[in-house]
Amino acid sequence: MSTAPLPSPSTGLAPGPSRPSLALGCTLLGVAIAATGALALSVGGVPLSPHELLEVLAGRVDGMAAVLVMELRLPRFVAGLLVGASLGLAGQLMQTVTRNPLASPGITGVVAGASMAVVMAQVGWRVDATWLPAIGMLGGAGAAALTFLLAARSGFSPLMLALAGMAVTALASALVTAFLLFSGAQAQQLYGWLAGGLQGRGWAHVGQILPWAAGGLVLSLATGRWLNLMHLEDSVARSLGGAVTLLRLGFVTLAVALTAASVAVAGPVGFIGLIAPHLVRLVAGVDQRQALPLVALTGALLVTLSDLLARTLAAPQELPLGLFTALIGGPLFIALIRSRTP
Amino acid sequence: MTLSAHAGTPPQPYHTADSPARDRLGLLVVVLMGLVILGALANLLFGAVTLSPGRVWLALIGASGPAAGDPVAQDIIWNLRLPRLLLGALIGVHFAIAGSLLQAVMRNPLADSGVMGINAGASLAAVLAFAAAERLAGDGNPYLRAALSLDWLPLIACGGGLAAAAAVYRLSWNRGSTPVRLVLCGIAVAGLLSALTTGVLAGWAQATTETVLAWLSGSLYGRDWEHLAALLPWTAVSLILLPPLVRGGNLLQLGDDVAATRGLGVERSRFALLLVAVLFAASAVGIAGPVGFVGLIVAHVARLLVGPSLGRQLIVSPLCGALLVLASDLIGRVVLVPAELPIGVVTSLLGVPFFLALLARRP
Repeated sequence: MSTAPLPSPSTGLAPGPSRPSLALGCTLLGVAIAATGALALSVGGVPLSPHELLEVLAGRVDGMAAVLVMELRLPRFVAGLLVGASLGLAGQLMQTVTRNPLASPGITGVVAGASMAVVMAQVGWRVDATWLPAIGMLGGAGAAALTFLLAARSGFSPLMLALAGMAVTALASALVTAFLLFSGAQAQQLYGWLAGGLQGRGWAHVGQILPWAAGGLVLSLATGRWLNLMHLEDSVARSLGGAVTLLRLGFVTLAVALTAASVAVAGPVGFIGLIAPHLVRLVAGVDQRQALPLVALTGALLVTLSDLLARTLAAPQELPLGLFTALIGGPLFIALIRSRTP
Repeated sequence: MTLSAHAGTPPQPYHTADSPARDRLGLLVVVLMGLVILGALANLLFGAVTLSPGRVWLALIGASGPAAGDPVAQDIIWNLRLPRLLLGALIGVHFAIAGSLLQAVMRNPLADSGVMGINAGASLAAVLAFAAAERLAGDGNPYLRAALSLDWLPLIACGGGLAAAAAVYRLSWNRGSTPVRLVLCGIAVAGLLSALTTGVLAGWAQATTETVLAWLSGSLYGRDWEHLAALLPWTAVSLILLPPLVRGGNLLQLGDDVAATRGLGVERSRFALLLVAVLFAASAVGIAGPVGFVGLIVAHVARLLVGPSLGRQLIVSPLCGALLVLASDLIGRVVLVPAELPIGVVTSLLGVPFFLALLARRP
């Protein structure tokens, strides 16, 4: 494209990269995800050749290969996509709303709060799995409220947010430990869940997270224009017609819901919500309407790739997914601190 | 509690060695010692079985003679409660001293061994050792399992704690290091290391998961004389290293520049203090698991009680640490009888609100 795009009139933001970069980014990420998907569907205890895989996907084969792909590998891959996209979006929403590069679901204690609520519900009341996203949301919202309340007094400084989030996380983990000790035979299974993973996730789990992830995706994409307002000073944003406080509350709620749904399905998978937005920000500038789809795709790629590594590197043994997201995300997090703090 | 009145008064800076401050410190030490002894007695009396003071007394003095006649009480006191309470007090002393040193070195009232990643590093090293021992032992090879004896755990944990602290220090270094970067890097490293610990535990260790889980929550359950014996050499070594460093710690609190003009080798002194803090904290983690927030609470209370002098803080904070751990262990043992809440859970439940209140009070 030869003509430079005009500044967006609704926000007055400087122009980010032009539309083609969005299309290019989406295409590249889409190809990477498709490649990961092809590998994820064909690699495993029974490896499939590309030809066999195509036959299965086209529905021309029955028997074990079909069951393997359609009932085990495909739902697991789809669940990974949804979990990653949800966590990435949640991170993007929180970091934008607080204008704080460290405000992610993990750091602010939302993941720990949601985990605590899910563990409590399973140990204490053995509730049906359909309710877990909603229950997780209560725990996550409580944790977020506590963290933000404390950090708000200091104007959401990264240090205070990180410290408050750490304390809230410590509190939630202490309670999780206490509940685990009384869970008896469930402890091993719950502990595996607490490591974060997609082992054995089927279509039921996909159904469980799909409404939340799809709803959150559509909502955040639809409200990208308002999210752009959050970059501006509050007074400017108000004069442009944004009910800033209400919007901020709405976006944080949306982020908590997305986080809770992914925690309910995959356990506390760390660092994705922190890292995906930063990777995107390196290339996509600040326009949320461009950043949001890229962040969702990046999160999805990171989680499905980590899951592929987790189940193949030490096959037939499964390594925990959280191990790989931590190994990828931890160093990036530290690099971020080194470059961003005085 | 009588101490709360003192805690309310603002810290008076830079007492010289003249009498009123001395007297107050002496009184404070006596009061704290009395409270520690009370806590110890309560730990002997209460638990799943409540013993009468008379039975405790007879069991304590009768154990040396053959004619004690109360084997149940003797067993409970000598094999369960006494070693456990001594170890608990010692653990409290370790975390308290580490907390006071770290807060002085970092010039940050929120620093402690948990925030700095030391506990997480020590835990990861110990869990790796557990998992490796289990793998090596396989089925029915008791010799290799015995190879991971208690004596090695403080050493392994110290290695992990040192590596984590070194990483935090190095990562926060960028033409000098600032407290903000140190704390943020500490949180980042701690988060990464605990994710790895959970991963190792879920991925590799199988048979001992429950044991390790109990250990990871910071527990004195099943600790006996052996554990005490394994920790004591580390206490001794760290205590011997401590006194020559106190002056440097005092000066560092005033800022690097001031300390340098008073003739202190700033980096060397900071490094030595960090090293001793790691020795104290990580060896305690090796024996009792990562007991969180003890150092944070105690160092803060000690500063409120005796002011900014590190030497005076180091007299008061070990006593406060012992008291806090004894109280937490007692709470954990009696609240849910016959089940038991790990001490780390209790200290977190006490420490987190304290920490949050500290945060909320800061500007």
